[in-house]
Amino acid sequence: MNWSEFFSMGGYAFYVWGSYLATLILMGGEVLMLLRRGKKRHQELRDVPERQGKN
Amino acid sequence: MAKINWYKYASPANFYPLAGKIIPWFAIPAAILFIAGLYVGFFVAPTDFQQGEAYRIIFIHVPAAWMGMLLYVLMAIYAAIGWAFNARLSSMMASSISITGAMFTLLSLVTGSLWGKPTWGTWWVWDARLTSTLILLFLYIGFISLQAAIDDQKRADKAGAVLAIVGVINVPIIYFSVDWWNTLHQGATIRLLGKPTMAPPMLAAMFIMLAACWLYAVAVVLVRLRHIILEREQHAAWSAEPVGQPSWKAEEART
Repeated sequence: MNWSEFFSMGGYAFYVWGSYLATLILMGGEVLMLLRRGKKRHQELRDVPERQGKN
Repeated sequence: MAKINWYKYASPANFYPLAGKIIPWFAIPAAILFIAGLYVGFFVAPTDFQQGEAYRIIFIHVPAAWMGMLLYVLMAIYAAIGWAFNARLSSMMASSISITGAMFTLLSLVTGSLWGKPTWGTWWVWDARLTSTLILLFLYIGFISLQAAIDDQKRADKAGAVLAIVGVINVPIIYFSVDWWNTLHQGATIRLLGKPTMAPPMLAAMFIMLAACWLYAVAVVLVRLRHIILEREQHAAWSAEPVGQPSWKAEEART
């Protein structure tokens, strides 16, 4: 099996790779949103004055 | 064997650091299994004699659909426990699961649509399986927006729990829809009883992908749960003061 044959997926390339691209976008998007939420939380914690200088 | 006091971890303050420690144990195996599942699915599993290469969508479509249904049941159970026993952590878990469940349900609809076009000739059809899955997505969205719309957290959890529990009826409807109605959607690929109708490598790829999806779901749900715990408990005493155990604060300081 050569690679161009592999990527053409017997003529179903759009549907097969589209499905896995959708998977990547949705799961990757979920992970990215969680990472951003974590970053935001860090910033908020830093900005709260009562928490500064403690610990 | 050391005795573990499980009740201890029903408290968000104690669960927070525990969750942080176990997340990598799910996230890393999830990544490995995704790669393994895709390898088996694309390089080991043979071409389907009926559908050609298009069938390879199954390796993500079926696991995503199962996850969407199972996570809904899990979400309803956690919401019910949170409501019945006034267990905060349980309600937070339900909220955390809802996003991932909705994501998987949407993924099953999108991949199903991409599979339907070449095999049925249409992106969408109002058949029982597809319609009931769309309702599942709406139930998730309903749960998420209901919780977001109510300011009082306790009431939001209660309202969400009622919706989640009532909506559980939809899950067996989705599952049996292909038997109860004449649907365009094909019958169950895997049955609890009886022989599977797929070649072993195809089956193996699907189950590896399912395992990967489970591990992924546990990891992201726990990460989100930690965010929810901090957001909801930020005014509670434990989050403002350093506690004896390895607290989130010590963790935050390290990162």
